[in-house]
Amino acid sequence: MLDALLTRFAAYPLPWPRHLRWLTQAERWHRRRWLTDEQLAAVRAAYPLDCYRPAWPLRVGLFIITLIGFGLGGGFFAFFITTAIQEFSLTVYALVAAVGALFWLELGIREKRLYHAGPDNALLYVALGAAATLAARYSWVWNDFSLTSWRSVPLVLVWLGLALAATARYAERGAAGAAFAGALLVLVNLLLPLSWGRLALPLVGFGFGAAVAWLTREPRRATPAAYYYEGVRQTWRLLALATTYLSVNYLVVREVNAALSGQYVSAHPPLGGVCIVLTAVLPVVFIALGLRRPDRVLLLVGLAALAFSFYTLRHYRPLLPLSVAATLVGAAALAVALFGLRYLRPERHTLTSHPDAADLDDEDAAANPFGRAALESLVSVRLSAGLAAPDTGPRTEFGGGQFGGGGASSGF
Amino acid sequence: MFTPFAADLLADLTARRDLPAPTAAAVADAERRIPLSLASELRTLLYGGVTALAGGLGALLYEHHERLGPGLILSLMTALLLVAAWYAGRHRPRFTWGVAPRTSVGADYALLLACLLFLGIEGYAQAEYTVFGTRYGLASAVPAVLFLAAAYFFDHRGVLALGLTALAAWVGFTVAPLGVLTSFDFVPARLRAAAIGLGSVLTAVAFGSEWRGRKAHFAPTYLSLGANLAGVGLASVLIDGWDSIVTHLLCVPALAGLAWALYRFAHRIRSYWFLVLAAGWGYFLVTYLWIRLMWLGKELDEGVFLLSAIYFMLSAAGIVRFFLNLKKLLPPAPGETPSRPS
Repeated sequence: MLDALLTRFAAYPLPWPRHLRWLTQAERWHRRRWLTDEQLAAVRAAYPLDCYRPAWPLRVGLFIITLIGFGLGGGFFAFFITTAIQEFSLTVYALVAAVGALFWLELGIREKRLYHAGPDNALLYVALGAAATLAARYSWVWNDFSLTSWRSVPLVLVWLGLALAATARYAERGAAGAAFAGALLVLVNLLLPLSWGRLALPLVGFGFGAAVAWLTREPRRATPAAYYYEGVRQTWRLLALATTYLSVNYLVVREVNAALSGQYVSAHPPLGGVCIVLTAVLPVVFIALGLRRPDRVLLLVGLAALAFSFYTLRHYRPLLPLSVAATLVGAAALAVALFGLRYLRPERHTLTSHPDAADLDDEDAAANPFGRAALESLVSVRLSAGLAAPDTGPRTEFGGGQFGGGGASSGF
Repeated sequence: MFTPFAADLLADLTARRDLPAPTAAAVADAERRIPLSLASELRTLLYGGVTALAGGLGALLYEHHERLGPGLILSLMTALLLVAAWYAGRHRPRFTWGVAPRTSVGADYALLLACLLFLGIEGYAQAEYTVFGTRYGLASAVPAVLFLAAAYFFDHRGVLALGLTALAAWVGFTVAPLGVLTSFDFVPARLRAAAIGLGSVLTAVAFGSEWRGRKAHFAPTYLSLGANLAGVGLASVLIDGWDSIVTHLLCVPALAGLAWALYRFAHRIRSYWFLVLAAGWGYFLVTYLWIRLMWLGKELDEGVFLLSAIYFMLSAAGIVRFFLNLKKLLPPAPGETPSRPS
C-alpha cells in the first residue's frame, strides 16, 4: 500500500537509496575482508549508482554556494518585480523563493541527478521556509502569534503539514527534523492554553518522545519505503530520544516553567521530584540499554544525557569546587576508559574495544574524502589502528574471534 | 548488527549468483555475531578524561601555588613526565621508515602527554627561574628538536605537529626577537621571508618523504603546514608589495608553483583536501592577477566594474563546476571503477 503510493510521490528514484545503502554495506564487508575484491567489484557492477552524491565536505560546500547563489539570483529577480509594482512586498519575495526553489529542486533532481547532494537540500529548505512564511503571512495570527492561545493552532498545523509533505516526498533529514519540531509545537500549543497544560508538558513530552522512539525502531522488513525513509527514521529516532530525556530534565523543566510563568528567579517546579529522579535515572537506562542491545545511538544519547545531568546537578548544587570536580571526573573517566579498553579486549558481551575494520579508512579515499588529509596537524591524535590488517588473510574464516584483523594490538 | 537491508542485499546477491550461498550465509552469520566496537567511544572518553584531569590538576596547583612552592610543583610535573615517557618508551614500536605497527593505545597518549608536560615544565621553569634568560629562540629550539626526534622515533604524527609548531616559533623568534618587534617597517619583511623560507623547506621535506618513502605518512602533516605558511607569506608580499615589479616576477611564479605542487601531491595520494588547497591558492592567484589587470585600466570606471562583475560571476560558476567534478580530477582508488566523464 505504502510502497505503491511511494512510487507516485517519491522525488528520487527508488533504486538510489537502496543501491547507496547496499554499496556502503558491501564496502564495509570488504574492509573487514569478508568480501573479496572481485565480489565487491561485482556488487559495484550490479548496483550502479547513477546519482550525484559527493563526499560530505563537498556537500556542505555545495549547500552554502547554492544558498548564496539562489539568494543573489532570487533577490535580483524579486527586486525587479517589486520595482515594477513600486513597493516592497514580502509576499512577492516569498512566492519567488518558493516557486523558484521548487522549480530548480525538481530540475536538479531530474537533470543533474542530485541525491541529497547539498544543492537539493538547500533548495528544499528555501522552499519550505518560504512556504512557511507565506502561510504565516496570511494567517490571522501574523501579528499576535502566541503558543498560549489556540488561535495559533491552525497555523502550526499548516507548518507541520508542509514539513510532513516535504519529508514524504524528499525523505530529507532537515525536513524530517522540521516535521518533528512542528509536531512538538502542535503539542505545546494544544497544551499551554489549558490550566493544567504547563504541569502536563514534561510528561507529554516524555510520552511523545518515547512513543516516537518506539515507532522508529529498526524496521523488520526491507521494503522500498524502509530504504527510502531510513534517513528520516534515524533522524526522528535521535530527536525522539533527545526529547524523551530533555522534556523531563530538571534544569529544562525548572527554567522553562519559570520562563512561562514569568518568574525572574526559577523555583522548584511542580513535579520537580519526579524530574530529579528521571534526570538521574534516564541516562543510566539509556546507557545500559545501549550496551545491552547493543545500540550505538542509544548509547551516545545516554552519554550526552549523563554529561548534561552532571551539569544540571552542578547548576543547582555545586557540591565541590570546579578544580576538584574536574580532577575527580577526569580521573573517573580515565579509569573507566582504561578499564574498558582492557576488559573488552578482544570481546565480551558482544562488545569490543578493538576498532571495527569496517570503520577504518586507511588508504580508502572513497570512504573518507579527506583520506590521508592532515587533520592530524591539528594536535589531535588519530590512531590509525588496523593499518597492519593482513592483506591475504583467510577470507571465509568466520570463527568467533576472527573479525577482520582490525587492530594490531598484541602488545600487552 | 544484522539489519534487514543487509539480509536483503545478501538475498539479492545470491539470487544474481554474484555470491555463493555458503559465503552469503557465512557473512550473515558473522554480521549477526560481530561485537559492537566501542573503540572510538573509549578513546573519546580517554581523551576527555586526560583533558579534564590535566585541567583540574593544573587549576588545583594554581590555587595552591603559594603553599606548595615552585620546587615541589616542578618535581611533581617532572615525575609525571618521567612516568609518561617511561610508559611510552616501554611500548615503543621498532623503528621503520614506513608506518610502525601500533603497539598500545595508551602509549600514544602517554607520549603526547609527556610532550605537553615538557612544554608546561619548560614554561613554568622559565617563568619562575628564567632559566633561558631572554634567549627565547633557544627555549623554542629545545622542544622543536626533542619533539621532531620523538616523532620519528615513536612514529607519532601528533608529536610531529607539535614539533613543527615549535620549529615555526623558533624561526619566528630568530628572525624577529621580541626586542625589535617595536620597529615596524623592517620586521614584517623578515617574518615574511622566514615564513616563505620555512614553508618552502617543509614543502620540500614533504615531497622528499612521500616520493622517497621516508615516513611517507608524515608528508601530509609537513605539507599542510609548509604550503600554507609559504602561501600566506607569498600572498602577503603580493598584496603589500603592490608597486614593486621584482616581487611580482618572483612571487607570482612561486605561488603558481606552490599550487601546482599541491595539485601533484593531491594527485599522488588521492587527497581531496590538498586538491581543494591547490585550487584555493590557484584561485587566489588568478583573482589577484585579474585585479591587477583591472587596475591598469582604472580610468574606464564602468567597464571595469562590469568586467569584474562578470569575472566574479563566472568564477563562482567555475567553483561549482570544480566541486562537481572533483572526483574526476583524481585517479580512481584501487578497486573502484573510474567515473564516467559526463
